[in-house]
Amino acid sequence: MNELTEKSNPFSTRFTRPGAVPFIFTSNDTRQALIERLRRAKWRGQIVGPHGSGKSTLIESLMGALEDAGKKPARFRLQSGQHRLPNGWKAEATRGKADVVVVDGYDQLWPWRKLALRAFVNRQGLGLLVTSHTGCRLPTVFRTSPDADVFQRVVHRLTPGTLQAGQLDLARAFDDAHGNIREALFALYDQYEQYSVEQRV
Amino acid sequence: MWLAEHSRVYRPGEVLEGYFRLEEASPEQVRAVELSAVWHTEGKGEEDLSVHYFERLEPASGSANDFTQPHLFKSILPPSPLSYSGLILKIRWCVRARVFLARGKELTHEVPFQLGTVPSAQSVTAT
Repeated sequence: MNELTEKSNPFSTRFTRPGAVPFIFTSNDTRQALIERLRRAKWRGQIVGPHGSGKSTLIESLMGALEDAGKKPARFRLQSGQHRLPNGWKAEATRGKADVVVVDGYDQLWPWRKLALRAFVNRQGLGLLVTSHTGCRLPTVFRTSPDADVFQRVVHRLTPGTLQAGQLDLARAFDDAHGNIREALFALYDQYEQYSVEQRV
Repeated sequence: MWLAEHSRVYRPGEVLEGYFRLEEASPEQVRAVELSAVWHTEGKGEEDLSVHYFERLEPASGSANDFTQPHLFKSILPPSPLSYSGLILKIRWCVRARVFLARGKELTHEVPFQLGTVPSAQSVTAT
C-alpha cells in the first residue's frame, strides 16, 4: 500500500456532507431571492422536500446569506431519531443573540416540542426557518426535489476531470436510490471503491 | 510546509518533524497560524477526526514577517490509529496548516503522511 498516493474516495462523507458541496439551484432561483422571500415572510419559513433532495445542503449554504442580510442564525440539526432539540438550545439562541432559529429536520420533533419551539420564538420575537419533508404551517420559501441533472452536476463538481470513462454508472445509482441524491452518492462511493480494487488486481 | 522524512512514512513512536513558512506574508494580513497533526476517517459515515498535535503561532512583534522564516515543529507519533485504506473506511494522517487572515479569511494546506504499513484492502474471490 502507498497511503500517500492512494486517492481519496470523492464520495466520502467529508466531501459530500452539507457545506462541503454547495447547493445547486435548478431554476433561475437564487440564494438571495430565497432570503428575500424569507424577509417578506417576517423571517418565518420552511424548506420542504423529500429525503436526500438537498434540504440540509441548502440550509448550510444559507447561513452566510442570512448573516449578510443582518440576521444571526442559531442553527440546530436533528439527526434521524432525534425528537428534541439539544439541551440548552434556548440559552444558546438567546446568549448568542440570534435573530433566526434554524432547525434542520423540524418534522422529527415531537408535536409538543414543536409547540414549545414556536412559543419560544414568538415570545422572543425571533425568526424561524426549518426543513421538513412535509408542510408544517410555515410559509414555504423553497421546495427541493430530486433532479438527475443536479446529481450529475454534483458528481462532476466532486470529480473534476478525474473519472475514467465507464468508471461509474450515474444513471443506475440515481435510479436505484429513487432520486435520493445522498443515497445515490453513497452508491457511487461503493462503485468507486470497487473500481479501485479492480484496478489494483 | 514540508516534512523532514522525505518518504513521509513513519512508524509509531517515531518523531514527526517538519517545517512551516509562508513565502509571502503581508504584516497586516496574517493574524495567526495553527499547525496540527491530525488523523481523520473517510467513508460513508460521519467523519471522525482527532488532533494529535497542535500549535498556534501569532506574530510575536505584531509583524507577520516572523512567518517567512521556517518554523520547526515536531511530535512523537502515537501507537495508533495506523493509516489504513479499506473499502468502507479509510484512516488518513496529515499535517495541517491553517492561516488566519484579516476579515475572517482563512487558508488551509495539508501534507499527508502515513503512520504504519497496514496493507490496503484487497478483493476476495469466492472459490
